[in-house]
Amino acid sequence: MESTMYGAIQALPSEPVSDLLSIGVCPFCILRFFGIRDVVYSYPFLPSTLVECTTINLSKEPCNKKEQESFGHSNEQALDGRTCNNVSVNFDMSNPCIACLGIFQLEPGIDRQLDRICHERRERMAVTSKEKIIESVKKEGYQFDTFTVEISIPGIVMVRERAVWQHLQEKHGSQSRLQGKHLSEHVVSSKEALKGALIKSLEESLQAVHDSGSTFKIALRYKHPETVCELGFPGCSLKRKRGVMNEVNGDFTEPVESLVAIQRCLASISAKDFASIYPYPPPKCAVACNLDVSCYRTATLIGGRYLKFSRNISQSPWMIEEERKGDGSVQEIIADVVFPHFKADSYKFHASGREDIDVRMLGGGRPFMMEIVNARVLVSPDDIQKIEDSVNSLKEGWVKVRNLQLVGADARSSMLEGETEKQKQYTAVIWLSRCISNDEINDFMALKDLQIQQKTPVRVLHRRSPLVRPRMIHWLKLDRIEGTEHYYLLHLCSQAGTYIKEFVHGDLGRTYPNVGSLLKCEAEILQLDVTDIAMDLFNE
Amino acid sequence: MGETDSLNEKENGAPPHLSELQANTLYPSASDLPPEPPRAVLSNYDRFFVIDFMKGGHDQYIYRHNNGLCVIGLAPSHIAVDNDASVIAVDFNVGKRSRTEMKASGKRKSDACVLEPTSALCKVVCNNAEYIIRCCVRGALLEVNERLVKDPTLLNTKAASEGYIAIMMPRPADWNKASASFLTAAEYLKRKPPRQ
Ligand SMILES: [Zn+2]
Repeated sequence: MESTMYGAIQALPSEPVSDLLSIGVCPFCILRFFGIRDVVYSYPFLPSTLVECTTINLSKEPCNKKEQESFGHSNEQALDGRTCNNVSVNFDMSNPCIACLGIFQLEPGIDRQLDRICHERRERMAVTSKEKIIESVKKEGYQFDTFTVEISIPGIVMVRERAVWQHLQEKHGSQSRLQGKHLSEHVVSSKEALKGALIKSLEESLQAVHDSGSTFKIALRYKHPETVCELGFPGCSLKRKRGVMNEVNGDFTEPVESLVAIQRCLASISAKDFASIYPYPPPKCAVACNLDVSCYRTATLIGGRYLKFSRNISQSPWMIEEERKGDGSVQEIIADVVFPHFKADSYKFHASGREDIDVRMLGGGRPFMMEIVNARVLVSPDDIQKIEDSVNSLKEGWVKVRNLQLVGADARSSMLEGETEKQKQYTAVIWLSRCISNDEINDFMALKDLQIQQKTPVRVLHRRSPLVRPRMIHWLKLDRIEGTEHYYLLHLCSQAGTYIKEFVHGDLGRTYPNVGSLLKCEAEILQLDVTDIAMDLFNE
Repeated sequence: MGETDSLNEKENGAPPHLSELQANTLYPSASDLPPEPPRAVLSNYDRFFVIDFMKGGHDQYIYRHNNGLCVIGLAPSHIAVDNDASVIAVDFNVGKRSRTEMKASGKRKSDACVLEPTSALCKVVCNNAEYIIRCCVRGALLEVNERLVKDPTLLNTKAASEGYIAIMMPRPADWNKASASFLTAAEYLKRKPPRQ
C-alpha cells in the first residue's frame, strides 16, 4: 500500500505541486486537488513524502527551473524549504493551509511524524482532532462496537477550495492531470479525505468498527469565524441572524441552509463572477478552523406489549391542574425500570391506541414502544430480558410487559398502521333493564359485522371534533352472570376507534344501534376490559 | 381461512390469550354486583331544572356533564309531556336560521352559534298547542337532536335520555350566572313530585 501511495505521489506533476506548496496549500489538500483517493490520507509521512518527491522530480527537470524560482520569490521570509541538487521546494506552513484553513493540519499523522513541516502548527494546536474525539467519547461513557463519523465543513472552506482550483486551472490548466477537469468531479472532497485520514486510526484507538449505518455518531463540526454569508455570492446572502452566534466565544455556526446555498452557487458561478467576489489564490488567514466534537446515539427503540390490571392507572401521566389523577401511569411504571438502564438523555413512550383509566388491558397486551434518546449504554437481548423480568417482578404488579425487544424503525410505522386497522376484543359487565330469553340471546349473538353510527361521545365532545363515525362490531357474545337477573358478561370484537362504553349505554342514543336498542331495553355498563388487540406486532 | 377459524375459536368460551387467572377476574360474582346499576345519565351528569321558564308549565332540565357540556331537555313536568297526549312534531325551524343548520365543527367549535338563555331551540307541537323550548343558558350550540323530527314521541317515552333537545357548551362565567337560578334535582322533586 505504501508503495502504491509512493507511486501516486511520485506521478504528480512537480510544477503545480511546488506552486501550491509555496502559496501555502497543505500536502493533504494538494493530493485532493489531484483527485487522489482512498487511504493515502491516513499515511503519516504523507507531507514529507510529497515534498521529497517533488524536490527530486524538479531536479530532474532543469528546464522548468526558471518558472519554479518565480513562485518562490514572493514569500521568501515565511518559507521553509528543501534542496536537492540545488533545486529547492518552498513551502509555507506558518499559517493554516489557505484551502482547508487547517482542517487537515489538525490531523494526527502529520503532527506526530512530520516535525519538519508541521512543527509550528503542532505547537499552536493544543489537541488534535483524534485526541479530541477520544476525549469526547470517553467523557460521556458511550458503549459501542461500531461508529460512524459525520463531518460538517464551514462554507468558507468550500469558497477557498474553489479559489485554489481557479488558480490551478489558470496557471496549470494545460497539465494533463488537470486539463478539462471539473472541481466537483475531480477534487476529492474534504469530507471524504478527512474520513480517509481518520477512520482507520480511530478504529484502532476506539476498538470499534466504522459502519456508516451505526447508531453511534461522532459529529465533527469544523468552524471558522470567516463566514460566507456576507461575501455576497448570488443566492447566498443569508442574514447573519439565521446562524447561531455563540456569545461566549464568538463562534459562528452556519445554518445548514447557507451551506447548501453556497454549494449550489459555487457549482454554477463563472470564473469571472467568482473572481469579482473572492480573490484567487485565496489570501492567507492566520486563524485556523476550530473543531467541535460531539457524540450521540440515534434513538434506541424497544417494543413490547403491556398489560394493565388496575382500574386506577392511566396510560400516560395524567395531571389536572398539577394534581395527579390515579395511581400513576403505565408509561411511568415501565419507564422507571427501563430508562435508567440506558443512561440516556430522555425517552418517548408510544402505544398503539389507549384504554380509559378505568379499563384493564388484559389478554396479549397492547403494543407499545419506547424511543430512548442518546443512550450511552448498548444493551443486549439478554439485558432486555432482564429488564422485562424486573418490570414484571415489581411488587405492586399492576403493570406487566411481554415480549420486550430491541426493534427497528419499521416497527414505528407498523404500530401506526395497526392503530387504525386492528380489531380489538373487549369484555364488559353490563346490566339490562329486563331479563333476556335464550332465543333473544342467540339472535343477538348471530349479529356479524354490524355497522353502527357513533357520534363523538358527549364525554369527549368538549375536546374532539363533532363527527359521526361508522364503526364495525365484528361479533358479540352474551353470557348470563349466574345468580343475577339483569347482569350479563358481554364479549365483543370491534373495529379500532369504537367507543365501547357508548355502544353499551347508547350515549343518549347518539351511538346507534347500541346494546339497549338491539335488545329493546335499557343497558348500562359497569366495567370494561380490553381482552385482545389483534395486531401482528410484538407477538413473540 | 385462518381468520374464520380464529373467529370461531373466539366464539367458544373465553377469549384467547387469557391466562386462567385473567379469565376469572372477568367474571364477577353475583354478590359483588349492586341491586341497581349506576346509570350513565345519573353518574356522568349533574342534573338541574328550571320551572316555568318564561311561561307557566315550561319546565326544562339542564344536565351538566363534568366536562362542562350541557344537555338540554324537557322536564317530566313540562306541560307538553305531562299528560296522556302524544307530541305530534318537533320543529327546529325557529329563529332566523333553522337550528339543524347551526353545525359546529373542529375541536374548538369556533364556528358554533352562540345562543342566549331565552333563545328558542325548537317548537314542540301537541294536539292543540305549541311550546317553545329554550336554551336556559348562554352558550355555543353544539348539536340538536334531529331524531326528534322523525320520532317526536321520544319526548313522551325517553325525554331524559334519547329525547334530549340539544347540547350546549357554555363558558364557565355564563354557566355560573345561569345556574344560580337553577333547581337541583332534589329541589325540583320537592316542587314537582312525580305524578302517580
Ligand atoms: Zn489543506
